[in-house]
Parts: sequence; C-alpha cells; structure tokens
Amino acid sequence: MANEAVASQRARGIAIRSWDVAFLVLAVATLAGIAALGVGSYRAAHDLEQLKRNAEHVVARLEAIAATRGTAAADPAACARHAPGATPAGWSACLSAIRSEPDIAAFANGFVAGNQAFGKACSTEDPAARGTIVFEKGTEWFSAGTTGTSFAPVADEEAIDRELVLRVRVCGRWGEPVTVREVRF
Amino acid sequence: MDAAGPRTGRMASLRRATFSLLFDPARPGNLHRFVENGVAAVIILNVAAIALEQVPAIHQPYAAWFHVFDIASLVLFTVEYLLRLYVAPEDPAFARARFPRLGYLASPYAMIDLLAILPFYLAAFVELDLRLLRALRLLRLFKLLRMLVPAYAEFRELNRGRSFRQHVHALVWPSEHGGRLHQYFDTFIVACVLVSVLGVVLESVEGIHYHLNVEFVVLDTLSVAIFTLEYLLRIYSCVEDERYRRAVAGRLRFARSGGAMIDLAAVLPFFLEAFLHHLFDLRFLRIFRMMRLLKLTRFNNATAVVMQGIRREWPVLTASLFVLLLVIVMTASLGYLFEHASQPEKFENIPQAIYWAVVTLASVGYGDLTPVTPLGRMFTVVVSITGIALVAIPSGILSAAFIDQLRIERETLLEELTKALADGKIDAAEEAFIAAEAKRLHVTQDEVNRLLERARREGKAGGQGNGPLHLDAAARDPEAALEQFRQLVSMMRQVAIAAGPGRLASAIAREGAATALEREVGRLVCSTREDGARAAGEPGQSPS
Repeated sequence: MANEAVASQRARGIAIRSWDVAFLVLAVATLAGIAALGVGSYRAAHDLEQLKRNAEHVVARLEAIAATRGTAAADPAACARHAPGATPAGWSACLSAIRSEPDIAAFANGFVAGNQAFGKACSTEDPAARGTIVFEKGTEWFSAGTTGTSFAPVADEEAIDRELVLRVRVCGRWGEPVTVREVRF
Repeated sequence: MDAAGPRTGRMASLRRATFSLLFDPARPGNLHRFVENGVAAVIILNVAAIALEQVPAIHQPYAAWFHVFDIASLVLFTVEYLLRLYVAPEDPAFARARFPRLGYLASPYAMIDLLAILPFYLAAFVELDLRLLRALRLLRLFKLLRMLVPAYAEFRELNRGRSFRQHVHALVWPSEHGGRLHQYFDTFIVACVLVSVLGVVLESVEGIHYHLNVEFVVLDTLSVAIFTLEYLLRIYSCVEDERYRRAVAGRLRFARSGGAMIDLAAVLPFFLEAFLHHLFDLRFLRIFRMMRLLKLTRFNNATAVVMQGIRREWPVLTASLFVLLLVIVMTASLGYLFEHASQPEKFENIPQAIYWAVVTLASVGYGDLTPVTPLGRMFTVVVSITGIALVAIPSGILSAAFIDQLRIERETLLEELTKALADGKIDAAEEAFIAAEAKRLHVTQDEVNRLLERARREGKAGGQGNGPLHLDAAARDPEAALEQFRQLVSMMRQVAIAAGPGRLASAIAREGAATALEREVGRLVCSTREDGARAAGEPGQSPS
C-alpha cells in the first residue's frame, strides 16, 4: 500500500500541499510588496535626478554670469560687481534675478508640491526644505598647518562685489543634502 | 585512399580528443567544468556590461574598453560555437544522427548560441539599430540554460517522489538531494552578496553616488527581494532538518539561530526605513546593509571554526579579559592620580583617563594625551612594557583556540577515515562524506591521502586503540595480527634501548625474575640493540 502511494506520488511529480500553496502565496505577496516599495524608491530617486539636473542648470547659469559680471555687459545687472566705492549688490537681488529667468522660473519642487524650488538650507527636521536647491558660501580657513573650506548658507544681504565660492546643493526626499557642484562666482 | 585513411583517422582522433578534453561531462578531470564555468562567467560579465553601458557617466569615458570587451566576448562565443559544431559527431547526443553536425545546428542550445553571436555579424552587412543590438546581446543570458537545464534535470531526478517542501530544502540547504542546482543557488547568493556589498561601499563615495543614485536604488531593491525570498525559503523548509522538526516551534528556533538572524539583518534596514521613515530618520540603518557580508559565513567554515574555538576557550578568554579590564581601570586611576593636578583639562576624571590607559596599554600611542609629570612618565614606561604582554594574551588564546579547533577537526576526520576503512574499502557515500568534510576543513587532497594512509595503517593494526593489543582485529585478520606483533617487537626493542641492553639482560637473568620464555625473548631483544636503535629511529638514545 505504501509502495503504491509512493509510486502514485512519483507519477504525479512534485506533491504540492495546501501549506505549500500558502507559502507560495506569502512569498509572492512579499515580493509584490518589495516591488511596490522599490517603485516608490525608484520614483523618489528619479525625482532627485530631475532636481539635480535643475541644479546643474543653475550652476551652468552661475558660471556664465560669473564670466561677465565684472564687466559692463553683466547680465543680469543685479549680479554685476559694482565699481569700488559704490554700494555692493546683495546676493538676494542677484538670486531673484536668476530665478526670474523663464527656464529657471519654471522649476517646480518634485518632492513636495507646495514647497519652493529654492531654499535656504537642507534639514531633515524641516519638511519645507525637501526638494529645494540651496546655495552655501565657502570660507577658507587655516589652522595648525592645514587648510580647508567651511560652508554656510548664503545670507540674503551677502555682498557680491567680490568673488564668492558657492556650493550648490539639493535637498533630497528626507531633506538630506546632496552636493551638486562648487562654483566660483 | 591509402593516404586519406590515416589522415581521416588522425582528424577523428583530434576531434575525439578535443571533445573529451573540453566538452565531455562524463570524463572526470577534463576541462569541461572549467569551460562551462568560464563561459558562464563571461555571460554574467556581458550582462553587467550591458547594464553599465546604460549609465552615460560610466559608458562615455570607457566606451573603447566596453567595445573591446564586447569583441573579446564575441570571439570567445564564436570559437565555442565552432568547436561544438566541430566535435558534434563525438557528442553522444548527436553521434547517432545521420548528419551529426546538422543535428547539433538544429538543437535548441546551438540556436541560442547562434542568436548570441549572429546579430553582430549581420550588423557588418545590414544597418541595425544600436539599441536593438544591445538588446540582442541580452540573448547571451540564455546560454546559461546549457548549465541550468541539465542541473535542473539532475535535481528532479534526485528529488523524485519528494514533496515540494523537500524540494525547497534540497535547493537551499546542502544535502545529498541538492546536486549541481544547489551549488548554483549558493553561487548565485554569494554573487548577490558580493555585488550588494560592493554597491553599499561604492554608494559611500559621493562622486559615484551622485551619478548612480537610481542604479543603487534598483540594486538595493533587487538584493532585498532576493535575500527576502531566500530567507522565506529557509524558514519554510528548515523543518525538514531534524533539529527544527516542529512546524512553529522548530521554525521559531531556526529564526533565533545565528545564520537566520544574519539573513534577517541583511534585509531589515530596507523594511524599517520603508515603514518607519515618517517617524524617525532611519537612513543611518543603511550602513547595516554591510551585515550582508556575514551571510558569506554560511558558505565558509572558517568562522564556524573560530566560533567553536572561542566557545571552547571561553572561560580562559573571559579570565584574561577580566585581568585586562582590571589593569585598564588601575592604570587609568593611577594616571589620573599622577596627572590630574598638572593637566586637569586632559586627565579630568578616571573615565577620561581610561581612554589614555587603553591607548597606552595597546601600544597605539596617538599622542593626544601624554603624561607630563615625572611620576606619570615613569608609570607610562612600566605600563607600555607590561601592556604589550597583557594585550597579547587574549589574541594568543584566540589564535591557539583556532589552531586547536582545526587540529581537533582533522583528528575527527582521521577517525572518520579509519571508520570508513573498517570494512577495507570506501564506498561512494563514504567518499562523498570524506570529500565534503575535507572541503569543510580546508584539507587538501594530498593531506586527505596522507590521513587515509595513516588510517589504513592504524586500521591494519586494529584501529585507534589506546594500547597495542586489538585482539578482535588480530583474531579476524592475520595481517592485523602480524602488524600488532611487529609493533610489540618494536616496543620491546625500545624498552631494551631505554634501559640499556646489559642492564636489562642482568635484570632478566636474576633468579626468579622471569620465565624461561621471557629469558629467551630477552636474550634476543638485548642482542639486537643496534637493529633496535635503528628501528626505533632514536640513535641518540643508544646505551653507552
């Protein structure tokens, strides 16, 4: 009798029981869940890529402005270096002028619909910072025989009558900073 | 005709030799496995290259190298295809066909092989879209079927009549039912671990992460999917193991085991971050993806040997660590006592001084905290010298434990060999077991042969008993009796040499000290001291 059962099982191939089916359902459901989470992460990564492309565009624009802003042909004029003795231009006015350019004005925050495209600083604590492009000013330091550059958010009233070292960053899905590039402005 | 005959014969012989050397799976010791694994490795590298070519930041600077690799792969696959076509008449699968080579060309594997190379030759004559060409290169992946299909057929055969769960168990756990498919499964998991860990390492490089952010996300999701499925398969099938027999309690017991915990830790950061990100910033958990590296311990016995060694030496190890702890605290206290007054900001309290004590005892000496008082400096000299010995004790215990564990395991292997040889021969199951044990213990074939010879010798003498007498073996086998007799004679000679033949002869000759037979044997043993010394191999102990 036992031999018959074995022979019958052999003839059928793999014997699948109800617990096996339950396991297979669980495994497929788990994989589907991971796939759904993966799609979410992929979309966020894709949005971050778009944000980085926008920031790279801004960097390219800053580099183009930097090449002419010491001359009379500075464009936009708000970013021009003023002659010695004149009132220095402020970063806020320059940034506003850049942001008003049509291609940059069209930037939208890909992470949070209501958020601005540009921000002050990245912060994991501040939801408003997510998905923004931020600018930081570099200050060189010298200590105990070593040199370095420390960065801090550019103040609105920061004078731009001299060369600035700017670091352009984007704030990711959770507000974490991602450095795009440093530019001499 | 006469001239063509030998030439045809030579050609057939060359063809046979080529098939036998490169493609015959039935011939042990040939290059078949090497060719199979080599081609599989090139296929996998091709798929990786296709994936990397989609990333402009990687493809653009190295486009020429990618092209060279593609051409080299194409040449390799073409040579393989032509060689298989050439040796088809020798292949048992096609040898009986009227036209063996046509039979080969019409076979599914040959068609896949042709599809893997043909588009590139066609591109030389016909204008083909570059993207289509790249997509067609993915067809090379199907070449792996040449390995997977026979492995699956073997797996089905080994698991005929077994349940689905037993199939799963055979696939994911080492057993006699796993066959080559289990080996491929292990290799796949190891490859996934290595690629995943490499991804985690490269992700920490800002420049690389910047360009490959999306690719890292895809890689991590795929890794988690594979490792989660593997974890589920192991949890589900572990009840086939005697140790985890019960459905719920057995699985819970398995889930608490070291290997299962590592498997869980390999995927947990992904799920925690996905489900709890709105409550906490859990990005720091990503670094724990490096735990995946620990999954490799399942496929390498070295860690298990170290852990067994540590378990065995645990009391000694804890004792030495306790002594070390005492010395650290005492050193820190004295350092605080000597230096606090002079450097209150550096030796502010004993906990701060513990850092200095550890750095000094371990002979690291960063130099950020240094004693300035004469007493403190004198004390540092003493601490530095004693520290070398104290810190070395636990490491010495650990290395000795590792070596001891290896020795114990090899002695166990020797016992197994002796047992296997008890009936005078080693059957296929015993041979497989010995091979598996030798692999587990990293014992080379030469060493196995040496142990086998020793086991054979000891087995001939009646086994690994504590004394020279194995009467059962002697009664069973005259050869074993002879071997024991030789050993006894050798031992008697060693006794004579150690005692001094003259002194032993005098002792035997004393009235009532020995029987007539013993006196006769004693006379023979004492008279052959030179031979005895040579036999014992201890010429330095010859009496003088």
